[in-house]
Amino acid sequence: MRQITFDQFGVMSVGYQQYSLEYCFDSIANSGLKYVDFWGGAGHYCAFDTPIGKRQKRVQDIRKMLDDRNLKMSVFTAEQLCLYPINVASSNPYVRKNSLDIVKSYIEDTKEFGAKYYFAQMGYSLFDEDEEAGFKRAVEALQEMTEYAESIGVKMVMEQLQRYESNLCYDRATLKALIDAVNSPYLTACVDCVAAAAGGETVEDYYNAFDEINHVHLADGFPTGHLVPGDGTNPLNSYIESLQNHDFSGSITLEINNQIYFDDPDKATKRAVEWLRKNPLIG
Amino acid sequence: MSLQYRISINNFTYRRYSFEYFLQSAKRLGIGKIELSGCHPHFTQYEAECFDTAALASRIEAAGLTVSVVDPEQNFLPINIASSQEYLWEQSVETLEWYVRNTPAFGCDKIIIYPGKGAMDQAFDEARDNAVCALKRLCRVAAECGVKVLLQNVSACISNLTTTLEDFSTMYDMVDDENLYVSINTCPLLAAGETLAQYFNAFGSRILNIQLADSCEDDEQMGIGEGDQDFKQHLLDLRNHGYTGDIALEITEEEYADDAENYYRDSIDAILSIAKEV
Repeated sequence: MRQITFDQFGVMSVGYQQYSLEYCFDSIANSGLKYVDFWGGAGHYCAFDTPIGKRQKRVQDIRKMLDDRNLKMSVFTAEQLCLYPINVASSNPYVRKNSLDIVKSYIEDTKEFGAKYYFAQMGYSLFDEDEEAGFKRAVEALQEMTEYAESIGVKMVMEQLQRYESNLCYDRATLKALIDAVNSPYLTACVDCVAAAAGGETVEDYYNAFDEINHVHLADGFPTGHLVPGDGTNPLNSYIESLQNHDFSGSITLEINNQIYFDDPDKATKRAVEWLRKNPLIG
Repeated sequence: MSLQYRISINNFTYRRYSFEYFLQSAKRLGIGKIELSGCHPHFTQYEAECFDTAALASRIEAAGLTVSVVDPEQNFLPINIASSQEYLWEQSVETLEWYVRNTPAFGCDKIIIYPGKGAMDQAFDEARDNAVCALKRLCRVAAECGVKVLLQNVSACISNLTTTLEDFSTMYDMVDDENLYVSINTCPLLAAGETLAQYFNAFGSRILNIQLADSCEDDEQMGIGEGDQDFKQHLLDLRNHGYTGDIALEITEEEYADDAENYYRDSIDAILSIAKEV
């Protein structure tokens, strides 16, 4: 059994979306965390707020900002299907092509950032469309993304979402179906503990389903909410015990993503870190 | 006109369904008007090299529906007219100009514009100045198109710029344009401890659209009856101030996306039931 350590944890920067990136990185560095799970959204960095000609410079600037604060990027989590018009499984060929082009540029950015993983998403089909055809498009897109990622040496992780976000991947069975269909070491599973709890699943269920889990999203909830650990009722310690029992040595993102914290994400991060520091399971 | 025929629903909640499904759903719900959200995958510049607005308008007309107001999505999508990032600001304004120019195609003369959002560690005045500059430009373009710009109040979780009547009024006054009108959403009112009556006292007939949605301390844009809003009072305020304009049910909470029609049906039933009491 391998104890989970504090240095495995990072926080997702999405909670800082109403603050500047400088403020965000300063706050995370001051909290003592080593990892940033970098949210790619407008205001911080994304395909929509940076002209193509200035993209490389912006990515290099962000890398330097991280280096200056001794922070590492665990995952580049670009905003995709939940908020933005990026859907690699769209039945609209124009949308699908644009989405894949943007995602490939994000995979390139992941390498420049020095991040461990790009956060892949599978897209969705509309609820009144043929779901089987949507699944096929998702697999084809993920295969194309995986081949591109492999060609430049970038690994990707992917998690299950909630059904209102994607009808193609909303539990461990649908996540496994996609990952198995792609069948590449460059696309492995991430467990989102909130989505799992919402679906009545546990981390142990995911270990039973997957050979390899490389990244974890941890947050509290009722069971949803993406709350600071301790603010909800989800059995976080049982998740951590499962990870320990499976000698998990990968990165863990505190995915604190709820509008109730948007006005003071620094306080939310500090409270999450305090929870980690006081947790006897965390070494 | 009875409330049933004055209320509209918003296709944003149906963003995981085709637009055709939304139109048929509106008919099933007995709704005659829609608030046309400029959201993906229904109506954005991301859908095609050159979006066929006329075709979309024809489909709405063929369904026997009218558009009360065009509401470009400005919270989920990367649009921010208060941004200090020059590129994002310009892209945002150009995108909204595109919506303004397309609004008449729907037989509609109203468009909703959000105030944008400033970074919390940025000077408030700087963000507001950026928004005012954008609104002035949009008002000019809209006037050329015969379209009225409706400034929308939003909650703190969306923007720090117009969370209170005072801040909203200041921005409205700073734009100082005859073509600027007002759309009011009830969620920010509850958060600020304010009422529709206060906004009617301040803006009177300049209010051209009302968005009703429930909310509580931690969430908003919820179905009618799911939160803490006093809809009986809202309807009384509308009646007492002689409001005869459009009323949208803004039931757009994220988690409603997989069963939009049923959430809307419940809210329509709830508001009509409350209206009977009023």
